[in-house]
Amino acid sequence: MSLEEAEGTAGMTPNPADLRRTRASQRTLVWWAFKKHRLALVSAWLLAGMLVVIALCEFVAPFDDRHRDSEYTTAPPQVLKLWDTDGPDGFRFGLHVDGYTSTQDPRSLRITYEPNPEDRVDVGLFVKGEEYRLFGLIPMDRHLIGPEDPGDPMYLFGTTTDGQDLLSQLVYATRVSASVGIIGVMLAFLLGIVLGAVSGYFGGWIDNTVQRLIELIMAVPSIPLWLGLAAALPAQMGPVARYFIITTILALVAWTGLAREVRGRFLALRSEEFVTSARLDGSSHARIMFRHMLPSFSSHVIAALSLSIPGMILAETALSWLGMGLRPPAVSWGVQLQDASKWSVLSGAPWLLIPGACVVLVVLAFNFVGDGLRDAADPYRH
Amino acid sequence: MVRYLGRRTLYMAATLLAISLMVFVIISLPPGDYVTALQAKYNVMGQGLTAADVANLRMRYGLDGNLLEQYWHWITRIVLHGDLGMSFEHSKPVEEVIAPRLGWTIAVSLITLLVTWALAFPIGVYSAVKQHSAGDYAVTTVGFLGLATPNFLIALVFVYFSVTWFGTVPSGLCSPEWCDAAWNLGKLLDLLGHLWIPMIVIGTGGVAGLVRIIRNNLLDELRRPYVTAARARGVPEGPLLRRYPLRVALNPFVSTIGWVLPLLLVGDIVVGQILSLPTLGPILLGALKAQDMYLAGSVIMVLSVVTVIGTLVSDLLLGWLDPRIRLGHQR
Amino acid sequence: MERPLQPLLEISGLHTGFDTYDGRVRAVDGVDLAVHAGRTLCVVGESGCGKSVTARSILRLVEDAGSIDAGAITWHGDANDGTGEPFDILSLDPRGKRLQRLRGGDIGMIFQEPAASLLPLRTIGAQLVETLRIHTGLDKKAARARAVELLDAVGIPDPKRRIDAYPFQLSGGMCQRAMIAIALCANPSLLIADEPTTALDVTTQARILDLIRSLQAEHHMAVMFITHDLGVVAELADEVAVMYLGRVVERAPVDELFADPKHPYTKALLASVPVLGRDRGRDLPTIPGAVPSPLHRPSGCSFHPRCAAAVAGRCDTDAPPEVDFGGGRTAECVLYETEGAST
Repeated sequence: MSLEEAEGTAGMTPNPADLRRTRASQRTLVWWAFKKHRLALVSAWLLAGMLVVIALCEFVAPFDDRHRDSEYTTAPPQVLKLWDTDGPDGFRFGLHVDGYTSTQDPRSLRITYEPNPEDRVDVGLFVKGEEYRLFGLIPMDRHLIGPEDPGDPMYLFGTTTDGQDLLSQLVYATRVSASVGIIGVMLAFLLGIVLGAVSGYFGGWIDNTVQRLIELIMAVPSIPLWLGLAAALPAQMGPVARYFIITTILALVAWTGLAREVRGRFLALRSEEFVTSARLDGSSHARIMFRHMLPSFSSHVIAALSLSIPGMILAETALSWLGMGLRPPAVSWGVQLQDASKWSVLSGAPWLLIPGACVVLVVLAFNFVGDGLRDAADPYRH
Repeated sequence: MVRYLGRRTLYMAATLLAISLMVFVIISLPPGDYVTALQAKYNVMGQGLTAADVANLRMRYGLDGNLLEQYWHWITRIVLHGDLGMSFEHSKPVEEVIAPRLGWTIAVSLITLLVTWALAFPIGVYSAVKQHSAGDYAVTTVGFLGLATPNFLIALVFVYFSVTWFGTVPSGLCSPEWCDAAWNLGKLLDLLGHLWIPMIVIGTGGVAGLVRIIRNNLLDELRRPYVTAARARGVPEGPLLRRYPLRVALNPFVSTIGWVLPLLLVGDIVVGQILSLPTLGPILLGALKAQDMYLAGSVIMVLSVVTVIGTLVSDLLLGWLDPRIRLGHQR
Repeated sequence: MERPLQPLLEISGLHTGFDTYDGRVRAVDGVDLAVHAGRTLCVVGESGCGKSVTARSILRLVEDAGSIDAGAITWHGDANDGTGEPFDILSLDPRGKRLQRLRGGDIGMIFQEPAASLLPLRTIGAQLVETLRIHTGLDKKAARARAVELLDAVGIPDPKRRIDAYPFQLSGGMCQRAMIAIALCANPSLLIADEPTTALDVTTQARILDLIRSLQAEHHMAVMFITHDLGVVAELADEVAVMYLGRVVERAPVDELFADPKHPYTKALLASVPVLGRDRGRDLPTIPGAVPSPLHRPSGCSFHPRCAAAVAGRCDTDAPPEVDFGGGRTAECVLYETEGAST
């Protein structure tokens, strides 16, 4: 005889805001909550931008990833300028950068480059450059930005010790590193969701076995395991094969966390009424698991995925930097940072750390998006 | 408690077995084995091995027979004789390569762990108790950055500033004049003077992670009914925080030993690459690159065993701290 | 029993709100209540009507996102026993000694989830002894001896052994008894019970109510009992306050409330309680609609969208007047406007 039972449900007109709330789908509600998370929203846009860059990588990068200019090795970044006042004909409008003058240290024989305002390199948008195939299909030779004369040096982020354009390399490396993270998490997710679902849905001895397996894998420190597996790869393996095997190795070690998350959700939902009614309706186990239960916590899954990508990216970066992951000619952030490992080089060329800033930025963005989604999916935890 | 102890120990044994299997897989994965590698080496030097030598060597390392027999041979030699195999790269038994460095590795890791805790605990508590304060935002921001930055990048940035400001990079764990000296105050101070660099590099990720854990846990605990109830009966705020939520928030802190240790060991690999420490990290990396698999596998195994022991210790501490675990009560 | 002139505790114009993503929720929106020494006041209402927040506001236990915006909570306890002046609890230093003494010393409080209200990592004895020592200044040994007596007094069997038990080793009912022992350890003159029996099964519920009643008689203590259960109200209350959406809509002595409810909400509530024999074979009447969100409080009388007797053009625009019928009876409703004016 509590008052809760006294509440009827019969007609009264709720106010419009309540109505909007009750009629909105789960996904819309999550989206509303997510939009309030300013940092997460900014991060989501950043990641979207990154995806565009990845897709249009050949077009965005001024040069090819094999482009090498032995005339300018370890040259500093140039500043992109819109006008120029001290040129031969006074004020001149137009996108350009300063060229370089080089000086050689007579004792160490080391060449250092300085920007030279006298030497103007005209820069254009949508300029003709090296030929490529967009999406591997459409033959093109236009680049988003580049020197008007393809032979001129335009190195906005400077060059590497090999004379490669750091910016172009960074664009290509973003494609490799970010996709290792995303594809790796997808693989881990497949494994995690199947085992997690089975474990949480059936419970009992199946759950016990899977849980013990997960705990065993988690007990082994992951990076030494990654290192060991990666070291066992034959040295002469091609870059594409290596890319996929490294991704798989990362995924094989990382699926456990996701599996736990999924299992917890399935376990909690198992005794819900809609699951019982689906079962009484004669739905198959697989249908109940993946058509009824999984969609009910898809936002949580997406949040968990987004939060696992950083770990994957960081692992690939560390592995490649140590020389155990991807290897040149493949470029990833870790491979790029190898260039900065020698302190004698790094001290004169701090721009070699730019890929590191990129790692931090992307990892932060994935973390913020994941956090924002988790909070949005779980308003009561907050 | 006895049942709990027994269960944890049994569990540790199973984990060790699994680890040994994985390490064996890693050792056996690359094409060829120790003896074929040795043969190749001798061939290059122009002094071929006789068939009898080869057969002897294969016997000794148990390389004939199927994988299971090989594993059995390998693991029994480790358990019964402490024989981890031969290092191809160093041309001496693996245990002789590892032993002198193991002490330093554990010492650096433990000191870093203690410092990590000493920093993370007060910062995390402050950040949770003063939620939404400027200090909390600063801590959270730095924490996010710390977690997003690979520790080798921290090391690189550190190296860059060290070179531009001081013109050099400090290396190793002791200055040349102290390295061979007997232990005294001067050597200890010198050691501490060198240790803070690897500690910063190795510990940043750990501190950031722990601060985040303790902050979230404490925030959860601060909202629990028992806090309100204790306040309602007049427990002053200071003792209230210490005796109630902090005690609960300590639990996950203790259980992190398990994952902080491997993190620190990995940091050691990275720092070793740049600062050349007398620890296991650089050895592991060298062995992996040279596919010196007995050595690499053994180092991985030693690191894993240390981790597993760390986990056991944290489980025991947890049982001692938390009566629910000690008395076998399931939550 | 003669009622003292001054009530023990007087709440007037209390407003307590919470900040949420969607704006500020006025959980308590102008509540006036009085608790008299030795008497039992039951505050009754549906979940979310602000009754718990009112109770928590008294000891200033409102959680982080919430705060008390206006009002006064006057404690007359000191004045009544001649040790001091009445004072406003809301103007006390939040970290000061007086508030700390008030919590657990003058006013004891018990909660809805007894097991969660005790720290699982410390024995109930440790938590009881801690409170005893804060408020009585006994030494460790004396406090422990007193703790055993208290546990015995609240009906915990084998208290010498149970004092070293952890909360998770005890049942919900036993935990609530331990909570009561802690709440009463300093002989408070008021016990605030915030739905203390909701989480317990029916038989345990009855025993805990018996215990509270007998302890109240023994200690001559006032009780403010928060509940949504009209059965409990009938059994325990001297006076009743009915709350709806953060306001007290009706106040009455318990017999009068059940015999002659005034406010349409109270009437609807009483009608929805099944009566043995009478209600066999017919549907129980329900109150149409659901409690609106306090974020979107209806204009005028907040009950008007669900009220059968609502007057169009009046109830949906004007706040209802509070009508005083005398003898501690009030109702917030236009239906009695003329009656109220005459008294």
